[in-house]
Formats: sequence, C-alpha cells, structure tokens
Amino acid sequence: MSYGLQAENPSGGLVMSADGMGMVYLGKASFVQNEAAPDFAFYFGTNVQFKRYRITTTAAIVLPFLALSANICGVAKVEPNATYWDFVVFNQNTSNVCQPLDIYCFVPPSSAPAWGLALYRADGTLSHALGGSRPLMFSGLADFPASTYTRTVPSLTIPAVLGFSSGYIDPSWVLVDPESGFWRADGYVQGFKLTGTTLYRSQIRFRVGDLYEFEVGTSPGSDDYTAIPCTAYLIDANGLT
Amino acid sequence: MAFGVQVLDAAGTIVFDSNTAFAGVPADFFTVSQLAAGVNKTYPEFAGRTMRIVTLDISGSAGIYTIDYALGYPRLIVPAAGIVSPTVVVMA
Repeated sequence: MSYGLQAENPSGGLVMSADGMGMVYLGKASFVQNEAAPDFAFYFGTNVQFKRYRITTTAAIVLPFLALSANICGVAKVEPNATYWDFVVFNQNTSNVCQPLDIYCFVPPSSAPAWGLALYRADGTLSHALGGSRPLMFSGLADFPASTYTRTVPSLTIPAVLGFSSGYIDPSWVLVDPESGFWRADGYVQGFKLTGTTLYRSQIRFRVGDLYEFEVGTSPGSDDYTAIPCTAYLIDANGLT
Repeated sequence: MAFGVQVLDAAGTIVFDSNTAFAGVPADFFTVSQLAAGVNKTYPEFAGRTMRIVTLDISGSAGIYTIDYALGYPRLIVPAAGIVSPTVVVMA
C-alpha cells in the first residue's frame, strides 16, 4: 500500500485498506414492479418475469447483496441514475417464478463519522468511515473455477451474496430452417442458490424460443458460460434492516 | 481478540473484525461510460495482492476482463471490443 492503514486476516488476506473503498450499509432496496427479463441481444423469444428494485442514493457505486435461499438469484440488470440505482433481479423458485427477496445495499461513505475512525486515501478523499453506519465485512468468499458448480461456504445467519450473473444460451441448438440458416435455442441465466453450506451456481431459463440466423451450412457452436470462472462474495446480513 | 482491528457499533456489537473477515476490499469500479476500449488500468498500491473482478449483471459476460501481474502489480486488461457490462467492481 502507499498510504495510511491496512488490516489483514490471520491468513494474510487484505480486509481493510485506506487505498480501497470502505463501503458502509445504506439500506434495503425497495420493490418497484415486476417486468420482463431484460433482453440485451434483442433476439426473438418470450421472457419470464423478473423484479425491479430501487435504492435512493447519489453514491457513485452501489454494491447489492442478495439474500440467498433455495431459489436461484442474481442481478440481471443494473441501472445507475443520478439519484437512485435500479436492480432488475431474478430469484426463481423451482417453477421459474420470481420470488421477493431482500437486497442489502452498500455505498462508499459520504462523510466522516461523528465518532470513531476515518481513513483517507493519498489524494485526500475519504476511504473509510468507521463508527457510523455498519461497515462492509465479508463473511465468505467462494471462487468458482471454470466448470465448477458447487462450493462450501461458512454457515451464516442471513447469508447474502454480491450479485454476479452471466448470460448463457442453451448449447442444445436446433436447426429449424436449413435453407435460411435459422437455429433455435433458449436463453439461460446463471445465479446463486444456497442449500445448507453448499453454494451452487445454477442456471435458469429466462427466455424461450430464440431464433438466430447463421450462415447457411454453418453451426452456431456453443455459448456455455459455465466454463468461465467467477467469484461470490458473501456477507452475514443479520442485523441489517 | 488477540490482534487486529475491530469496529463496534453504538450498542457495543462487533460489526467488523479482522480476525474473522474474509479477504476482499473493493478497490475500484467502473461503468461502461467510464471505461475506454483497450485502455488498461493499473493498481500499484495493491502490489502483491490477488485481485478479482465482479461483474454485477447479466450483460457482464464474465471473462471479458482479465487481471494480470506482469508489471509486478495488478493490471486490469480491457479488451478493445466487447465492453458491455455497465457495472464492474475490482476487488483486492
């Protein structure tokens, strides 16, 4: 580090640094409406319903932690605005119906606390405000290597995960029109679910019946993002209201 | 506690403890408008640390961005094409 204070855990991992962003708890995002799952590729197909949540803040960055359960959850779309951030999320049960969930939002501190400890970066900007709102502390970290779908995580009272997800097209392509090169596939999204202390990265279908056009005589290949590594950061949201 | 940093709230409850915290400090973030294609970012202040990328939403298409340490400190490689994620967080 270049400046100030840092702390490590017993295994040498960095847990606090004046060079970083000392996020503090802001509150839960509020439910806005149900809406069709976002379709960034604008392919043809029928989308399932997801849920839009909103947190009012002028912060430059908001980290959303989604309460984990047996449902498959994740953030499908982030929409930053000047005075609020929206998250279109999925939390699908086994019938692929989006269930309500708690989203715990952390933001960088906007001012030094009235008491406690403030840390600043080398450029003089506020890094940590310890003593006001609850600081972000990770209570679990799960690295998913490529093509790995389960990891064991600590037992937490109210586990919540930072919302990674990735798009995914069913590699089981069906050639529906050889003369025009049309192939059909369904769209899937990856999310997290928790059973006991086993964290799964699972997939759920969010778009049905996409049509893709490829050059006649060619194959679309596979779009399987499960072969890509990802990392889940967990918190214990117990006490956050 | 034997060593380290603890933070207590007004009620005396421990809300941060460096003995039990898992590694991870948010170091940087960007939205698509804040990042130019093909322009890498470097983090010399986090030399010696492993950094990770968290894409927050579906369009992140994880794997577009990579971290390397060829300079002796973490460097985020941004491809010249394919910048699609609105919000990405870099963790130290």
